[in-house]
Amino acid sequence: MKKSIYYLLLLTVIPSMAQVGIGTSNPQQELHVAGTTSTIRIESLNSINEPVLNDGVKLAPVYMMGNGDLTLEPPGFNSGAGLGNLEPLNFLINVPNFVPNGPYGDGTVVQNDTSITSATSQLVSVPFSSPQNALIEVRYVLTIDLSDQFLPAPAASTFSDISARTIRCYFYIDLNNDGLDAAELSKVYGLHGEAYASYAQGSVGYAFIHGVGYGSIPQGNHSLVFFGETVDGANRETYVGFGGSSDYLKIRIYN
Amino acid sequence: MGKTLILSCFLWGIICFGQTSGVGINELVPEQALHLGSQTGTIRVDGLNSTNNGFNGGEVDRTYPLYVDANGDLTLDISAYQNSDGDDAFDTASINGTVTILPVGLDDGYEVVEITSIPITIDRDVMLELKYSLSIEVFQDNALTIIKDAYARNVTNYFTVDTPVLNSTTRRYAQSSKCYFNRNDAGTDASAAPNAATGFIYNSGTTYIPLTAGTHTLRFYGSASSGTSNRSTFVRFAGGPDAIFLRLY
Repeated sequence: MKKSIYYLLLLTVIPSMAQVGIGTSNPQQELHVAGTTSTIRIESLNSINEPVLNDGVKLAPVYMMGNGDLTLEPPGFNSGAGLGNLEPLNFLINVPNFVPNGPYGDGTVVQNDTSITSATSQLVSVPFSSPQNALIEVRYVLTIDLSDQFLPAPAASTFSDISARTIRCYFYIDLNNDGLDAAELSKVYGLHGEAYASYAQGSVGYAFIHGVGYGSIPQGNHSLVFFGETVDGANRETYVGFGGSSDYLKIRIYN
Repeated sequence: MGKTLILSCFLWGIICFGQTSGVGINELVPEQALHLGSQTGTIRVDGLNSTNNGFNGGEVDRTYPLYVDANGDLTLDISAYQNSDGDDAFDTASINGTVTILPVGLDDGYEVVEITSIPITIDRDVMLELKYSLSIEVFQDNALTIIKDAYARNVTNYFTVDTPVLNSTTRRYAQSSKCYFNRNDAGTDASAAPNAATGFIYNSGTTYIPLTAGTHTLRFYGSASSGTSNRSTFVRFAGGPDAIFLRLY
């Protein structure tokens, strides 16, 4: 009873609809703490009660749990990753090799034969699920291997015509994983482009390309649809294998 | 339960009177406007839980960084300062979208332009995260003639902060370069007409820039070089889709 009297004395309770003001008679939220220097102290989160996550020296970030509780525990803190081993990052997916390598290590080939000067092919579509509305960061690294003879094949053939090719890679976000519509096709992410030309005895093997893109997405099941593109001169053959060796894709909720 | 009920009664209550020492919950001497005194109690906001708030994904052992907005309201919704989000960030006509090396003038084989600038005003010291992807096409001249010669072209992009003066010691940020070279069929048919791709290639840069409170100007530069002798070069920026992302910390 003593405590309840205490509450009675200290709570600044307002004759408004289910809203409480502290230091204000006109609360704008369910709980409104007014005052130019006012803040909230939660002793359970102080350095005495949370000595690991609040070391008393540097500021400790606050997180919200699924049930709406405030906590100092970063994502994954109780899943064995432990302090210092896992930054407060939410990764939706982390795929170490997101483009299948194919039988000859050519990945997905964009074929640009003598009849055309530009070619575009879908490389891969990667489904993912986001439990929340989010700004996402997408990072990818792909290998490319280039040939002036048909790929996929057991070996690539090096260029010898010294004619510049350009190679481009990007992705779209297929919201709800229901196929790319016009609006989705109008938004291009993760752009990367290279130029390459060589006389005979040019380099062979894999080169790495990478890209990063930022998109705002709603909660739900979506996919990233990657495309590769090549441009060459008239009557040139250009075959580019995307993702034939080690590549990776990471999607992070960028909060 | 009793305590909760009593507190609830008062929260829903009627009386309003000012107080200066703050409100204590399990705390007899509140030292802030609201002071929770127990060793385990915390604050629950149902409006921000995973059922009610799209930015709280729920799931086991997942937590979400909490922010306050301009009003001081708690929020889970974070957004970038600027994000082209898949739309085309730049187009050639609305920026200084080209850089030209003419085979006359100072024979340094180098030209640079300030492509565009981004004003930014902040009321506290911040760390700015900056990322961009800029499309590039490389030609010999503004008639879009395909280059065919023995010389590589270097195309570089970067940002500077504030100063409109660009000299060799001006601090650059998010530098990125690409080379372009075409000499088609020189080994087999030296007289063959120019025949090659001209783009799109991309410069993509990423950096962090510390900024003090106040108004700043981010200046986006593009340069072309062709070696110490001037070799005709015409670079077009932003002819394809481009991206920019700025976030303040």
